Amino acid sequence: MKTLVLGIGSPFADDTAGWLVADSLAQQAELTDLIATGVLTIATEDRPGLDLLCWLECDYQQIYLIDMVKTNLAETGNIYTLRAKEIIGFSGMLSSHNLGVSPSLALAEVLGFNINNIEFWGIEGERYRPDQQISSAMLNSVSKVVKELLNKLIKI
Amino acid sequence: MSVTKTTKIEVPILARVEGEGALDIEIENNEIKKCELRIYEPPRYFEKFLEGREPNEIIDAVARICGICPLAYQTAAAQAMEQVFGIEISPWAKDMRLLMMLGQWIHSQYLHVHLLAAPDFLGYRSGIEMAKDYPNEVLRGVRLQHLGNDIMKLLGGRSVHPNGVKLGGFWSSPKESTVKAFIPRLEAALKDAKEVIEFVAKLPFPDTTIPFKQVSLRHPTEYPVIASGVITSDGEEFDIADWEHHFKEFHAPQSTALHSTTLDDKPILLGPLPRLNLNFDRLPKHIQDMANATGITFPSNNMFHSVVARAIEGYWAIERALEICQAYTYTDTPSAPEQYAAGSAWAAVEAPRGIQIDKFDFDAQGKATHIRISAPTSQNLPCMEADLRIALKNFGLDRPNHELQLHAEMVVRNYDPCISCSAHFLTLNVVRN
Repeated sequence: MKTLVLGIGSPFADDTAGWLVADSLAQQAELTDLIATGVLTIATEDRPGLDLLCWLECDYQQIYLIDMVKTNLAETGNIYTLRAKEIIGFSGMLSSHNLGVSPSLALAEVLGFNINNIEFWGIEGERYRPDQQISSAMLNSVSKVVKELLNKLIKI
Repeated sequence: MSVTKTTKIEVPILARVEGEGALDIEIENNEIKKCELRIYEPPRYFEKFLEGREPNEIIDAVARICGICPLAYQTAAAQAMEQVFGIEISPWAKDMRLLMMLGQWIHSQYLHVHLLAAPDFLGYRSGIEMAKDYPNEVLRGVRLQHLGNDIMKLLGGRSVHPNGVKLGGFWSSPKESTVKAFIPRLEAALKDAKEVIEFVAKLPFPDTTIPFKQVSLRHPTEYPVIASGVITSDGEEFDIADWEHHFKEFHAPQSTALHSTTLDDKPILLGPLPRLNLNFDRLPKHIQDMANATGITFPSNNMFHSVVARAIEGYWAIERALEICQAYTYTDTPSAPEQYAAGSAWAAVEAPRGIQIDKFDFDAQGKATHIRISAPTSQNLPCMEADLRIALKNFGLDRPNHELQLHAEMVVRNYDPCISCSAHFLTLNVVRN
């Protein structure tokens, strides 16, 4: 099953979570063959925006998006697993700079892309300023997400 | 006894523009009494906190001014520094800086055309709503902006906060195979870009005429992206170093962004339409023919034709990027040697939405002593307000408020303003007793 793991983030504190998950998975020995044969693609994006649609055009049968989220409804490190359709109603400004994951998925759905195969893994974060360090709660959750996704990926 | 009828239209947050700004319009007895774009994002003090910093620190930092035009800020800053220090960059580095800027144009112009402007002209509230009826057009926009984004990543290292540019050139050279891989994508994009011109030419344009002085950079031989010459619609031509002899910057009470006008307080217009109007002769003949085939006569003073100008510029940018990629060869010296000297210099580039201007002063150790950074949006703000007065009057001030609001937003979005860019220009004066 052709699968994509896309870590979304920035170089700043807890917002690096998506990148850390992707980088860690890419180094797992169990996944080496899957990556080498093109069955599994692991990538990172800093501002996917509309480029998310270009990934969707690549006919992946399963897509995992990993990103920091800030809901203020849970403690830092809380892990959310959501289907794409559950997040397309989330707020997100459509501007020349800021086209977030949520409106991009909404646009993808309108354009007829299959978004049923997208699983969104969000990790609650609290720090995202350049002068801050990633929190220990976030680091723990990154390890948990890596472990859980690794268990799924070795079965594809 | 006469009765005064006052209508207030307040748009607290302008949608589909970058940053946070508001619009206040007051109409009294069918006359606009107040029309103000309020930029209320907090100032960011870039110019002040970069004083005392080293050149490459500054080049990295100015990328943070704007999420969509970081390379414009980096390129203009590097150009100014290289002038001050007497560093001659190689033809290779000049080509790569142009390619990088073209990537930024391609990304920004096609995103604006398809997802920010077209919904206004076609009567949709958003690009997502428009995509239901125009899926192929929106997908085309996605493809083209993605291409631009990839070119930015090629040379900037990443599209957000790029860090590939340095004093004297670049930190590294892309492999030849990586650059050549863009050739088929750029060739395919030309077909898309031609269709975009045909698509936007058929949009319904409101009839309006702008009377403002138009200003653009002027390149000696080609369409302007990185250049030091300035040209205006009044026939003036001068070097960017003479900018302050023609235009001024000032604070407007309603805005955290500086405003720019002529010295006698007249608005000035920068961006794709003036660029095309004033540099039509710099386009290759076949692109001039494509522009003429739209049925629009350039120079045009209908500001709504900006969307067509963006599409024509996009085609040129793709074609020019293709030429650079075809001629590309790897170099192991992507940067000229660094050297420092005290001095001062101006530099400018054409960002997608207008001229971005820098003036840097350095001491002999290469530390910045004074910095001025002028963003295109802040320079266009008085023009936007004046344009709104004209456009709303033409539209009909007796129309219902919601129609006036939508039209006003369309007029503002037409400038593709980047409010976050513009909101960092307050001068900080501290008096201590």
